[in-house]
Amino acid sequence: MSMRTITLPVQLQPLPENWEASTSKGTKLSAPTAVTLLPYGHEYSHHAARIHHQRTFEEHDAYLSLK
Amino acid sequence: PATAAAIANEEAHSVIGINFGNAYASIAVINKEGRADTIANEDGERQIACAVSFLGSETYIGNQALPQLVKNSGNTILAFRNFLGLSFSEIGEQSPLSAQLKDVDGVPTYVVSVTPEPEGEAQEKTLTVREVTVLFLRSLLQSAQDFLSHRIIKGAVLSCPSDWSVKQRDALLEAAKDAGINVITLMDPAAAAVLAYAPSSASPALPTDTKSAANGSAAPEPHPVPSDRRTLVLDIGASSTTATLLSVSHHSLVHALHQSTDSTLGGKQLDSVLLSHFAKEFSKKSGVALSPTSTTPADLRALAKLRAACELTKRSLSATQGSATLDVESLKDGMDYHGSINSLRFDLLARSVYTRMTDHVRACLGEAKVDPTQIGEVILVGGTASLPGIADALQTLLPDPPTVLSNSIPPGNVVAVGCALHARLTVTHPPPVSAGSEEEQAILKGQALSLPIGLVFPSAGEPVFWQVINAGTPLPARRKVRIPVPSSISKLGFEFWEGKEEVKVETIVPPKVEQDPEDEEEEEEEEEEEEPEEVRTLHLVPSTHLCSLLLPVAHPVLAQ
Ligand SMILES: Nc1ncnc2c1ncn2[C@@H]1O[C@H](COP(=O)(O)OP(=O)(O)OP(=O)(O)O)[C@@H](O)[C@H]1O
Ligand SMILES: [Mg+2]
Repeated sequence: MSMRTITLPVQLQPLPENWEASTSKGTKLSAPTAVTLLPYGHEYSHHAARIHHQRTFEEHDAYLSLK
Repeated sequence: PATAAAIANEEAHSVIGINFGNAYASIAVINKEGRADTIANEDGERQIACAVSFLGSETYIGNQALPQLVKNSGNTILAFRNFLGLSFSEIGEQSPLSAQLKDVDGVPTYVVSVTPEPEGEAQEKTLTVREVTVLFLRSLLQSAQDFLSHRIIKGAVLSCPSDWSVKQRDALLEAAKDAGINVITLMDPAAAAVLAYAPSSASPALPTDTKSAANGSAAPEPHPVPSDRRTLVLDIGASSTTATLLSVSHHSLVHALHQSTDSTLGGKQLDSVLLSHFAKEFSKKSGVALSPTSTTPADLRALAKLRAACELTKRSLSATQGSATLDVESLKDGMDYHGSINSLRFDLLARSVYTRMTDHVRACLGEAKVDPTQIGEVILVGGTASLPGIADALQTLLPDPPTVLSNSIPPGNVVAVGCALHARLTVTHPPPVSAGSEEEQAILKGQALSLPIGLVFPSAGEPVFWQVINAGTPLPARRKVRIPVPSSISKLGFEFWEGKEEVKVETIVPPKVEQDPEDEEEEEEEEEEEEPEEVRTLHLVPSTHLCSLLLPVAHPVLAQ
């Protein structure tokens, strides 16, 4: 499966003088929502396969490229 | 020797999709390009009425059974699907215009009259809802086999309302099995709609035999939408309207956010509007009274005839911008009736029904707490959604730019097409866990991102949130991002933020149009106060800073 790439049409400016790559301040993502997936579609199959074989995205990519 | 590709190809063409509605059914098969098309039966029809009628020794199934409603209504069975898996006490109101269900030890059963031997005696025949379903599904399978030159059909995906109970699903599965259909799975119609519209790039190509060279030029994608989005599926059938709001990731990882059904609203209401209109016209023109609410046997027969004609007239109105005619021979007291109606007039008559439909959508969005601007796509499904007036009515509710009204597949075909595509996928790329298993249940119960995640590039002005992962995306998720970096920049810094969606409502008063003094007189009488217009726009804004990254940039040195 080739992963789609999102291209951001951003016009980059030079970084402001005082900008720093702050290390994480311990902020967390909001709690996720519980959902029930519908078992149809190609992308669902990949999602299920990764969970079933306990593969990371990269392991799954590697497996697919072998096929 | 058959190659693996050839076998997979053969499998893909041996499965079908069936949209089994309460009023109409349709069948789709996989075409040469690996996409799906609905098929026409031997009478050239793609929408097959769910109807079975008995006349003497004959059994009519499908559209051929419909004319029997006029003179042989007691032996004509309609709208049976929704009674599958129910006991007699669970059955609500039945239409008085077709064969009636009787209570046989709690099992809903039709009792019809048949004459097995030509010129023999009429006999009573009893059929349970399940038996009628078997008869009907068997004829669908036959049509599919005929179309596929008697190829053996290895499996079918059948649509099934998502709110059906286990008992109802089991009854459908058993009936299909008795009809000789190997059901791969039952499918939610709204999910089928999403698959039907997924670009072919989102579903794997059929394996091609290297020898039978692939056809190089793929058809242009008719339907460009973001791969991650919220989709509203509006399904308007004969007697029900269902709005389903779905979260879609990567075109085909789907979960439902909300669904609501109005089972008193559909194409039948439009037939009734036309019926009243034409009954009145007929009475006026012919001097023969015909009231749409009359219950005398003669009037009921006349009304059944007129109603069938109205349905045809309504259908032809969806194919033309002009007018459609209606012809009924010997409508009442031997009087024929010829009428006509143009689409403008029809839309006027239909307005109250259309309004109920848009109100239903508005209520669904309200219950889901989703603003119309947050919808990325609308898919129209169901025979009634073919009427252009419905898309028009929706346009007033949904803001134009972000919404694509998908109409490149006739709405009546969408569900069958999606079912066939899913059937294809399960044979060529089978999912790793079996349908209905406990493991599948566990995988389906997932978690999704509550708020979007995006990037903010540090700059002097207002921070701009570049969404990368949408709210509602099932986890785990991964996205790849490409950022164009000008050669003058050697260090790339950016921040990860959680964002939120804000709907801004602005009231815009249209500017006064300068008028030509000469025109003023004419315009005066119809001078309208320019209504201030409410404009809603969706904004994504950063809300919580998560972390930042600073990366050195290595620009490739371009060779001369
Ligand atoms: N081209 C058309 N234009 C307008 N209406 C149409 C057209 N084709 C079919 N219909 C109407 O669509 C309805 C059938 O739609 P559909 O096949 O989606 O129903 P269904 O799902 O079987 O029914 P139900 O809503 O009862 O479950 C009928 O009322 C029919 O008259
Ligand atoms: Mg339907």
